[in-house]
Amino acid sequence: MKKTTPTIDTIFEVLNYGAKNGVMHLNTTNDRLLGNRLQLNDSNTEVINFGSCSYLGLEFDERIKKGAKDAIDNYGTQFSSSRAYMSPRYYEELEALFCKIFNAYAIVTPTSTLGHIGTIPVIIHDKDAVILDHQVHNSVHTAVNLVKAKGVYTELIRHNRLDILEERIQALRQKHSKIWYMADGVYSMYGDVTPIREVYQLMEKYPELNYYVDDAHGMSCFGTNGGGYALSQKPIHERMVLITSLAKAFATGGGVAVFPTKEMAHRVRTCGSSLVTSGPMQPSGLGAAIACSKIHLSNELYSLQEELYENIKYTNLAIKKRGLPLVAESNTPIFFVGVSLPKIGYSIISRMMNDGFYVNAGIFPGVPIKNTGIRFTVTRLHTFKEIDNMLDALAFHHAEVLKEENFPISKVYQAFKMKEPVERQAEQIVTTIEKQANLFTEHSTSISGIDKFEWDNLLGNRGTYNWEGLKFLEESFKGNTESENNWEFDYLIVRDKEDKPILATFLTTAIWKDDMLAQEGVSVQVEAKRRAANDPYYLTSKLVSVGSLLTEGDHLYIDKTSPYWKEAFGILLEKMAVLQEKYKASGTLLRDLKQGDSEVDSYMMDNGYFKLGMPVSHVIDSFNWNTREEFVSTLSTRSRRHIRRDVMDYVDMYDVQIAKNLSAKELEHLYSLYLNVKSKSLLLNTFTLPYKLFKNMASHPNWEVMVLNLKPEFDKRAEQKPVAVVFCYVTEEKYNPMIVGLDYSFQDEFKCYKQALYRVIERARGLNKKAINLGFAATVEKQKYGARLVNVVAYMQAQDNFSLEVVSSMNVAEIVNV
Amino acid sequence: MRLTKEEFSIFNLTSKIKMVENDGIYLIKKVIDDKHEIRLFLLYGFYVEVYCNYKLNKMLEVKPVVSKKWLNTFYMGLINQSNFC
Repeated sequence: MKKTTPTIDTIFEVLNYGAKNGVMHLNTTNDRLLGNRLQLNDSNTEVINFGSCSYLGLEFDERIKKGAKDAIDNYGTQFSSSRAYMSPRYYEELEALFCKIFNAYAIVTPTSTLGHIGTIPVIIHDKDAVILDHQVHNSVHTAVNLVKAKGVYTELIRHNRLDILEERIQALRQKHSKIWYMADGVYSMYGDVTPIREVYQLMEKYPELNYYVDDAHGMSCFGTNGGGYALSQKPIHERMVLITSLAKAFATGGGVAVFPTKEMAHRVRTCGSSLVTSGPMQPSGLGAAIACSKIHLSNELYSLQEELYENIKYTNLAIKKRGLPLVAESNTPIFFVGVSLPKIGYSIISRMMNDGFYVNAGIFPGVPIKNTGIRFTVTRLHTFKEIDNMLDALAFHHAEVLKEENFPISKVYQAFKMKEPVERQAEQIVTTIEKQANLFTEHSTSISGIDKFEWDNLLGNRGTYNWEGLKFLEESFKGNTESENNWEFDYLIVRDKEDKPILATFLTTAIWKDDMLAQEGVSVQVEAKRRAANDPYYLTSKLVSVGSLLTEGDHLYIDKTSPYWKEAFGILLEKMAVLQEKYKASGTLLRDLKQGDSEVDSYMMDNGYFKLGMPVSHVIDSFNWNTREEFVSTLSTRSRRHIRRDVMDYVDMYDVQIAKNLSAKELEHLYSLYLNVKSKSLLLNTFTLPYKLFKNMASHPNWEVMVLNLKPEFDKRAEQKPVAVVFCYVTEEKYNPMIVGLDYSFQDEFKCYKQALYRVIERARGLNKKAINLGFAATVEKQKYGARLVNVVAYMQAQDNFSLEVVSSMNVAEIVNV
Repeated sequence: MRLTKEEFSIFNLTSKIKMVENDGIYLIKKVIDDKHEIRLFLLYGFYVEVYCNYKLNKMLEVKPVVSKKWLNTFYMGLINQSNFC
């Protein structure tokens, strides 16, 4: 399986799961909509809509409806022409009205997304830098990707961290004369806002800073003439561009781009791709928008805003009184109550619908998968009574579903990094005890605390992590100078009442590079940034992972014949969360799991993990041969040709031995061969392994150091040295070549890598092993030797997805460069 | 939802009127002049005075009662003191 970014697969799984459960992809069945009552799908029961972004409820205003109807009567259902050629007369009137509303220069766009697409490529120049707030709306990312593809420097910063923004401005201002900070006025998921005044202060301080704001959810609700949240704080700045939507509180559809100067507006109007090549906003929308603009320019708007604000205040109070975990308190009409896991969110929404309330799932990709929540909105049309009733239902079902799922509320607070009210903590202890009543968990922080016979019986023959192998790893990865080479070890065995193991595994906690599972091209970029910043820990995270960075294979023993295997799995995930807290790690990872296990897939997704593709692993488990020629004859015709030409023709040029009693100098040379390979391989981008590990391997009875020397007639150097080395771990049944070192100056002429691979196979055959774990990478090469591909996946849960998004945002540039 | 006096005070007149109409218990009134009267309501466990134009049947001002002494003299002991909070 090729390594992939998690986004599309996970979006599909998460949303499809919601659709299957009847809470996503819904359809209304009302013949006619009146106010906020909806009929959904086949149900005849009405639900009150708490998911509408039409915050002022203007969609039912007779004047606006008449505006739309009159425009259709006058111009038909559409006016089909690019605005580059001509625009229906309504445009001129509407844009003039918007200039008054915003007290700036406005251009109407068919949608706000098309507004971004039309504006960003025109106003951002090749030498500008773009800094995106982590939570800025997806449509801004979409448009920024267009300029990124042209080479414009872009980066993400953590949400609303203006201190970091200032640091980045200071760093970038030497190279970039314009730095654009892109953020939302009101954020669409949590409903929090950008600290606009602080952004303005930075603009005063740094003339390079320009501000680009998407204020879709602030439009109409805030500010003079309903100009939005950003302009309610400060008038438009000379270095600011604002994009807003007419499809939320404005209630007509469409978008507006607002500029500080006429020239800038004219340039976007003339060159913006969506204004040249896309269809225009249609007469109905234009007519409605003109009518709505007139309301915005009247005093009536302030009464509407005030009515909405009353509902917002009431909702904030009502949430507090019910003790619901509101993720961000603000004075906007968007509310987000944390639940953490998608399955809990969907279950609550389903129950809410049965009780007559429609609320949204706040779900991936809008938020990190572990930060799922119930997102709801209030509009001017809701009554206090409706808000009260909805929140009564939400408080009830929130508590009930968490209880049913044995998911303590403390974990919800933890997921959102919120402080838990003290009285809730007692509940957590009770729930945990209840959950573990039928199973017993044995936990040790060293393999010495685990029975050797039992461990080897469960996991001993899978790879390098039998009891002795783990003892070796513990000794090698402690007391090192570099923090990335000091790991924490934890061992878990979950047993049933009869003491029978249902689940066994080991976990290590270590610093990982965030791009470890990313495509090689991404790692190239990240490594360049690490070097430029002189910070080897840039984009790295401490992770609690099943297995370790130096082991491969299925690290998880699980007895799926036990009726309690899911509970045991649940305990594993819970323990991982506890370890994450204990070691202050930022995420948890289960790796090397078999691909295509739909039961595990859905279990992991239910528990807030997303799936990552891992590089393909390779195994040779057929040894029906005795001689070299017999080995070659087991291969495919094409491979035979390759192996004869690239391997067998060179066999006699090498002396191969299992090295014993290596001197310090010899070992240092072998280590340098490893470093050669490490510096070239970014497929699994890991930190450099410590020298101490190699020293330990050289003296450990289970490790073999296979050294390849060229015979003297082929090695003309004054001092002959090994040209390749393979460090292999030997278990009862398997041979595990774990680390390769090469002298690349001999690679082309003597094909030392191919030779090393073959010698590993020959050695395993000679030792009568049943299989060789050939590890990741070099698929094409390994297949020539008859290796079988093993597709595995990983499941990850991150405390926040900032780093992952930074890494995945690098994919675009790479694809374009390809 | 029961609000405290402080919470009640953050709302505008329209909202306060709605709350009084929906959740308030009317207790007593005092006529001020030929157009205006003050109506006393028990709302969420505290007293609320509503200043009204009774000819237009329009509520003009709604506020929680803050002075226990004033309440007692104004309504001459007709009010149950235990509800004053």
